[in-house]
Amino acid sequence: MKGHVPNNDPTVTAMTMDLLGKVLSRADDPRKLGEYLTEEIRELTGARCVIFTQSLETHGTKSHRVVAVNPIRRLEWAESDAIHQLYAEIHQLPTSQIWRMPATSQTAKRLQKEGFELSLTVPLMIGENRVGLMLALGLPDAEHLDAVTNLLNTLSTVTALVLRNAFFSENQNQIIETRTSELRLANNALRANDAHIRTLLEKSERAQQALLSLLEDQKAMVTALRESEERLRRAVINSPFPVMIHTEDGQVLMISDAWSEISGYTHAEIPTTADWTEKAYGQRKQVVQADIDRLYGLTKREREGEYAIHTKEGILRIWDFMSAPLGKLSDNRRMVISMAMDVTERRAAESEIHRLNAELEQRVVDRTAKLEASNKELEAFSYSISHDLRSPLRAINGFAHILRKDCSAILNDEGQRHLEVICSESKRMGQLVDDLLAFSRMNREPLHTIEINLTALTQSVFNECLSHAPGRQVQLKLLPLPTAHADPPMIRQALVNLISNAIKYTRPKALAEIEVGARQETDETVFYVKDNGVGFDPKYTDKLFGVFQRLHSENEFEGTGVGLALVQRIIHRHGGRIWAESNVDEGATFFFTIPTTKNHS
Amino acid sequence: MNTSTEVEILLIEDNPRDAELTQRALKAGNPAHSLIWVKDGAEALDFLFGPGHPANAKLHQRPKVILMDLKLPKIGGIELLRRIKSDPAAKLIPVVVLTSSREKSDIATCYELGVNSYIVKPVDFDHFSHAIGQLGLYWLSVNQPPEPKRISAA
Repeated sequence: MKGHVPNNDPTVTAMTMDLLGKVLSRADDPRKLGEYLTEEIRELTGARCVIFTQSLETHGTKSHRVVAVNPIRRLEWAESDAIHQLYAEIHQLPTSQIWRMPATSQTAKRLQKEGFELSLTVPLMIGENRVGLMLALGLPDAEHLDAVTNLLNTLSTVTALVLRNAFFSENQNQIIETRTSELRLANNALRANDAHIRTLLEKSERAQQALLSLLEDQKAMVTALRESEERLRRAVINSPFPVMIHTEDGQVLMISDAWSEISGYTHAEIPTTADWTEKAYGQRKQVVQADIDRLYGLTKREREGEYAIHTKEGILRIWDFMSAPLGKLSDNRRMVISMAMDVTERRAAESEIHRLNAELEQRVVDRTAKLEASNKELEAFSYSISHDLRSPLRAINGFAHILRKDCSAILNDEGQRHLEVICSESKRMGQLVDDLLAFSRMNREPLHTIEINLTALTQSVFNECLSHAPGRQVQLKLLPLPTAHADPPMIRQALVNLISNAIKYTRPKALAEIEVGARQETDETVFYVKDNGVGFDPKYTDKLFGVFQRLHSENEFEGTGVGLALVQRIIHRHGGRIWAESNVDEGATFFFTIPTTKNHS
Repeated sequence: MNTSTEVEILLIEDNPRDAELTQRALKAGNPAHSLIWVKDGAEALDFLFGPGHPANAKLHQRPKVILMDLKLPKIGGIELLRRIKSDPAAKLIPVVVLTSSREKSDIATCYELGVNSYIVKPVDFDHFSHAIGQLGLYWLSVNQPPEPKRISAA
């Protein structure tokens, strides 16, 4: 219902009542109330713009809030600084005011400037307090101005109350909201703080973990160190040798159990090297201490040698010491490890060996003396044989000869034959004795070797042997022989025996042939004496060189069975070998070797 | 210049059988010779240097040859030889060792002491007779002895 509000019109009163009822029904929402009122008032009054503001006072400063504007397009304008200035000026006025032209006041000029020639402003009062303003700007005419003023005044009291309550409630809400938001902020802050603290805590936890693991590591390291130290300690303590670790100021840091066990002194008894030298070396302690002091200057391990120590029980033991520098302690004291080997038993065994050796040597000397004595006896025996045995033989042989010669007339043929047997057998025995003596001499006499021309020697021996075989036809084929390093009388004897054998055993041959030759081997010369005689059965070869071994009867070939044994002995003494090859009636070849290494001169 | 009373051969031999065989062999080779046979070294020295044969005794007898065994009682052959060959006068007398020993040491020692001959007596009597016969002939007839330095008082 658009139109002008009539003054004192019952309709107006009814309208006012209707408005009041509607205002009250909107008391809980000031904005909706504001929108309704401004719209209703604008329609009732025909004002171009109706504004409804609330006055606020915070910390003593007054300000104005636009609660509602109609038409709504004027909201921005209503919030402008110039209009806010207008609110502040109108707020000063204690009563409702009609603004009309011509403008005389600042406020009227401001309103005029904004295009409003007739306006009505009403303060919203509760007692003496102005809680807000009601502005009806640009009224159409002044005809119903009083009625409008009354209407607005009537409305203003109720509206002020509603506004205050509504804004109070709104404020309360606002306050609660603010508090809540403050609380929320605080809460958020707290929460953020909490997160921060949590982060910090986490960090601190991690740090703690790291610290703990570091501690664990440290602990492990300490344990490892302790274990390693323990191992070292045990290595020293349980060492099978006496071991001492000592410092240059004489402190004994550690000794092995072996040290204590052998010496009898515990670590407590020898806390310093001086205590040790005093106990173990007695009067020689200064000499030994000087030796120990010298050790601290060592740069590498050194063998000190053997020391005789006195054990606690007073027994002398021999310790063979070695020492090595161990570097410095944290207090800069130089440290040395000394290790000993107890060589007492070894030395005892050695001296026992020396003693036994000496005893053995003495025994050898004694035995040699005995052997020499028995050799002397043997020589005396041989001498005795050569004299005492041969003398009677010579007498037997001699007197048998004399008997045969002087008494031949009174002896019959049988007697003559018996004498013949006596003569030949005594002669043979003489030969046997001679050969045995020669053989025994060959074993006893020392070897004197020189370089010998064997070709010339062989020829000479052959001539001599042939002279003892009268009537024999023997041809010697003597091939050039190398020289030999040999004992001249001995090698001559060997050749004599071999060649005389060859002559003897070729006796059945009309023309005996003997060949002597040689061939050079790597380290020896092989000589041979070959004949075309009766030879021998090869199955008896091993008997050839035995003493008194014979392969022929005395009737076939005379001999004592010593000759070849003697040759073998001579060759063996020269370091050579001897062997023979033969078959019955196919001649025999005797080989012997002489080493070519010149070991004598 | 030798007279028949002069002793030509001094035989020193302890074994009577050997002595007999030796004398027989000498006779066979040299029928006319004068021979003295003594049985040990002491007797031999008594004969040569007089009874007791003191150390500074002069040579009493000067046989043409001395035949001696080595193995002799009392004073042995080697010692006897040394004594003879160390005397300025006696050492001029030829000494022949007649022995059974073929020991090298014996042979060497005898020659070192100045023996004039060393003969190993053969067991076989034929060889023995031959050797001794030759020996007598050689030393009594073939060999030329030196002039004695001084004539002993008759």
